[in-house]
Amino acid sequence: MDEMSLILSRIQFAMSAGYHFIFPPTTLGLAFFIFLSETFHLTTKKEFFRKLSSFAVRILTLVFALGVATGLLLPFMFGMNWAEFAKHAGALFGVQLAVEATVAFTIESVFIGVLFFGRDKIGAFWYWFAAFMVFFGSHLSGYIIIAANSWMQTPGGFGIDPATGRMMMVDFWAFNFNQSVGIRFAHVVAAAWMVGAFLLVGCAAWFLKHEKEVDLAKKLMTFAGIVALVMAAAQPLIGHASTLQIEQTQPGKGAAMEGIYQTTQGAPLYALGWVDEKNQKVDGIALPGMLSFFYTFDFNSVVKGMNDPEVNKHGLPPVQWVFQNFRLMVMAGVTALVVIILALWFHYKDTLVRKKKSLTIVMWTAVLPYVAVVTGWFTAEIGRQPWVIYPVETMGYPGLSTADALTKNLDQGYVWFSLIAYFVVYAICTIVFLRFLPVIVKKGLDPQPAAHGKVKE
Amino acid sequence: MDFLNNIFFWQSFWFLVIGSALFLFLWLDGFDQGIGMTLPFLKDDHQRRAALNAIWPVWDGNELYGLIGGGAIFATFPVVFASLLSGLYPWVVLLLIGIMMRPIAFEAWNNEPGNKAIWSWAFAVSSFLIPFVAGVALGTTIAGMPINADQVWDKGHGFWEALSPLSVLCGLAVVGLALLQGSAYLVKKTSGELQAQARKDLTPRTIFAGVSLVLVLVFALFDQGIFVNKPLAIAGIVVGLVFILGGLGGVWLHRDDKSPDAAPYWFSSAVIAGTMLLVGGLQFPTLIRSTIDPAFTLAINTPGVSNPINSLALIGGIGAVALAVTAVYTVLIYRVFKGKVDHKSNAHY
Repeated sequence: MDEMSLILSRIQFAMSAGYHFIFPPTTLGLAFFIFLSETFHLTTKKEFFRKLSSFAVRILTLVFALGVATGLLLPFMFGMNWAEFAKHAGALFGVQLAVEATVAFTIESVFIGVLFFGRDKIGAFWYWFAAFMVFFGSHLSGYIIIAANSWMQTPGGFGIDPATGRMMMVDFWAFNFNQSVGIRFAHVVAAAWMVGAFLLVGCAAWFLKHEKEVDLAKKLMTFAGIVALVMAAAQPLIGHASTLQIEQTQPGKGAAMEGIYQTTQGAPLYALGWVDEKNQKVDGIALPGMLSFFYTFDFNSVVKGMNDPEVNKHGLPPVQWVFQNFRLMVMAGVTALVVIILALWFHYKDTLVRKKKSLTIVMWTAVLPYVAVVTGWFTAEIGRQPWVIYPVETMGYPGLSTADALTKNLDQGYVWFSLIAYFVVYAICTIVFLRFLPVIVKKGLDPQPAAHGKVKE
Repeated sequence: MDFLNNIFFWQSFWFLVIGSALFLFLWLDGFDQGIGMTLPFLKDDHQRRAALNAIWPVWDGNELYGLIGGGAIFATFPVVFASLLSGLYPWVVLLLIGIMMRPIAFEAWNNEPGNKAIWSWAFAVSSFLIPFVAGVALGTTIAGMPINADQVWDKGHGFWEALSPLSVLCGLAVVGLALLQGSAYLVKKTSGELQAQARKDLTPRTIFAGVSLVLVLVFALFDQGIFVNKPLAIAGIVVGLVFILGGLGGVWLHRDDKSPDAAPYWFSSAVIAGTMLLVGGLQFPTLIRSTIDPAFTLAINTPGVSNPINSLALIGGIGAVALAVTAVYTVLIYRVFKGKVDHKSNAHY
């Protein structure tokens, strides 16, 4: 096997999945907000709900297109770079992706067309229905993908075909309701709603800062702000439940996240730190006994470290990467929570609109949930190394390592070519997103039809 | 219901489903691609706006059938998925660049306040790459790939070997079909100057599609030595040719402004249906021909190529229900957005 092809393919997949993962959470978050707004609009008949919903729909057009553009590539990559994985797990993983495309993604993309263009073509109820279907379809699509990923972390529902040595489907539902999918899906959905809510809060802050459409912007700040607050407050609890799950099924990942090498009584929690992998210790700010408390509500309980054979029986991931990404995620989330609490407090006092500098901070806080989403994803995916499909002792399944998943005889030149090509496309994507998101926002929360002309008259 | 326990039934079923998904992709996304390739050559941004409005609400749903086709190959014939994509790696990268750039160019074109020319061209180039590379890939499966005993592209053979005369002709033919579809759809959906221009384009595009299709057939039958010794292949060629010739003739006869606006579109759709019937008849049950040794050819019933029967049957059920539901609301969506569009349509949402 060609070591360089493996490294390049891994960089390529991390880059592609990580970059793609900016857009779908935004889609989920905006779809949730649109569905809420349309429901309130349908029941209360208040016009501002329709205006806020339409504003979110205009942002969704851009986000959804970029999400589709960057996402279509990923399944192809399994055949191109990870052909051995595709053959080994095609009977389950391939089936799952096909189900996603036929069942969920069709709903989403067909009804998103209605959301974008159908307001004056269909009645109020059917427009609400389309908003519901976009909400439902995007979240179902998210579930199917997270289930597939969770299955790779905690496999179930499969057997080995004696004729080919490849996996075969035994129980579709055991695949889809594997051990880790519930808590991981909750974690991702909460993150997505945070992403969408903070993006809209950021937009509201921009309007308030520039004193445009202040009344409507205040309503947006209240509405999106409450969603942002609830999700940012709930997320640490959900995330914590997820770490407990990781402790059970992937102890190596869990110990790497916390930087615990030796089995310790009263294990400390590192708020910040640097992993010294050679001397197997962490230098940093330690909160004594706190990790033990988090795991068992007892400051003196024993936490098993990475040197424990029970913990490292399936090998260990690159500890520094997992440790730092995990910390970045937590810090980004906690900072966002603090900002939204303060912002809503001043907003409640009605003094936020005068604090221009604070509004700038609130605006840029929209970036933090994205940081959390991407670093959280890296934590999960680097943390499961060296495995693509994790071993299952109870089933006698030895797992599939990342190196074994690579296409046999993969030409290094091919991977350089695709890596550079995708990088260029993502750069263009980024330019388009950063250039046109402000264009869409600056058109206003409730632009008059005349201002909508897409073509200069 | 004994046939449900027969794996060959399910393998054939999936051959049909994958073929149908590819047909839907060439049929529906074909006009998106054709209009995309035409975009830079239209008179002004009003015409481009109107042309884009014709496809705007539906194009990403159309593109999805390509993904469903690819996903279905992954789910049912993972060995073929892996051999095809890893073997044609550099070509697939070009296809993916097209697939990624198109929505980006689309959004950028919509939002760019100033000169949109760069985005029109980006849209056109990506709209060309998609059908051309898809056609080359399809042609390569017919002409054959250097598949070795390990069921993968043999390393002794360079990636340029994908470019046989037959596969390049297939690429051009699929581009030709997309161009024809694009003009026909514009005739159906627009009016005035843009419609007149699209009508004018029908003549050269019908000729281009017709000539490239005939050349593909000639090369497939004679040059490549794909022998017609199966009743199914003969049936596919006969029925396919009836559709292709009838469709091309129909477009030719209905390219004047007295004919119904929708007529060229339906005739051109028949050409695509005929093409897929022909290809399906020629190929079945082969998926990828091996140029090294016929024994290495990957067919639907080659041992180990398809997934076990329970996987095939499971998504057979899910897929059938899902596709039926999809078909219903796809028809509904086309009804919601039926009628003529111009540059002012879809102006607010």
